[in-house]
Amino acid sequence: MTEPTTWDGEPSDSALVARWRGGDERAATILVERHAPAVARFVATMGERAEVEEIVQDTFVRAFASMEGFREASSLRTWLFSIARNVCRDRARANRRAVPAVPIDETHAQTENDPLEVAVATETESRLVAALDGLTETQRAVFTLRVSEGMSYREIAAVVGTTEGAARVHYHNAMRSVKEFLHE
Amino acid sequence: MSECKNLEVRDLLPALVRGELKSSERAAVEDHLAVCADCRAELAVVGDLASVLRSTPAIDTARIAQAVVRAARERRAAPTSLDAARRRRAMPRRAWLAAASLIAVAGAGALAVVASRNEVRQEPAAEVARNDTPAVVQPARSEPVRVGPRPASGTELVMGGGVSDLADADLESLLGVLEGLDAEIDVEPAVLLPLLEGDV
Repeated sequence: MTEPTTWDGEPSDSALVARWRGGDERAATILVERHAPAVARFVATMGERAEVEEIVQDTFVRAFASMEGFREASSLRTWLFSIARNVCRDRARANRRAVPAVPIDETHAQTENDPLEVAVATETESRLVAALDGLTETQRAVFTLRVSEGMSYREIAAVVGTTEGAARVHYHNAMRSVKEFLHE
Repeated sequence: MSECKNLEVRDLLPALVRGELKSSERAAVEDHLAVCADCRAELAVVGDLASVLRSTPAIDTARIAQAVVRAARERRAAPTSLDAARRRRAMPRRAWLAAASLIAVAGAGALAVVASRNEVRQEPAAEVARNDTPAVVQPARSEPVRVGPRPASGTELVMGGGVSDLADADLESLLGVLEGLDAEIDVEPAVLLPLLEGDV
């Protein structure tokens, strides 16, 4: 019997999870390559930009340690996001420190462009990031998952541990806060 | 700052930015955008934020995968405290099943007593039926109300026996009840991790 694949012919998450459970360590590499970038984006927007890789690694180590108990009630990615959120919260609790000023990622810099355009772009991005930082932790998670990852409210609810309706309310409240911040 | 009340359209703006709408949905949203300045402004915000949020921090996925594999090998070599915690959490499940078994056996015993009493009570009625004479209904108050244990009248409360004394049908029913008990905790490990690690 052939294993399930994604639309582009790659093994599906379920197939890779089954292979991992069967002792295939290569499956872990594929799953990490497939999902780590999205988890990293999510972690970065959760205010842990200085330790993104460490948190992503912690997320995957925890996930694979619990893989035997993963019953696929949600998608693997949704499950990984919920673990990542827990890791971020654990760190925040442990550190209890103020979120540092947000350095703009170097990958954002448009070095080929005019310096004035770069400055304007950087300032715009700074304001957008500042607007996100003004949200509550739950609002930021919901907003990021909706805008950046295109998740449904049902999936978002599974990540943040709330209802579908509450996730929708969080999204629109977050949007209102962001718009108010940007129009100040 | 005003806001459009059309939440259905506003809910779809992130998907529009990501190019994930079906053609019919996209046409409907674009029709609305043509006449709604608030939604056009919100679309611009969503687009700007999406471009900021979509930038991926630099991470070394190979190193992360190696760490995952290394941790798994270490876990296999030496059980972790997490595994020990799982074993501790498995204890209440066994206790649960034992308690359910005891309750089921006690319930079966009680049913046997009730059934036995019913047989005793039905005897006069059966006799009346056989004699084909009308039954005389005695007023309830003609019999004094007794408080306390019923006197022995051929029915004894027998608590002996056990599952082995049950008929096949009763045993099957009991097993069905036990199998129907959801001893598994119906949440994904992500939710359990803080509990397992005592971090609550």
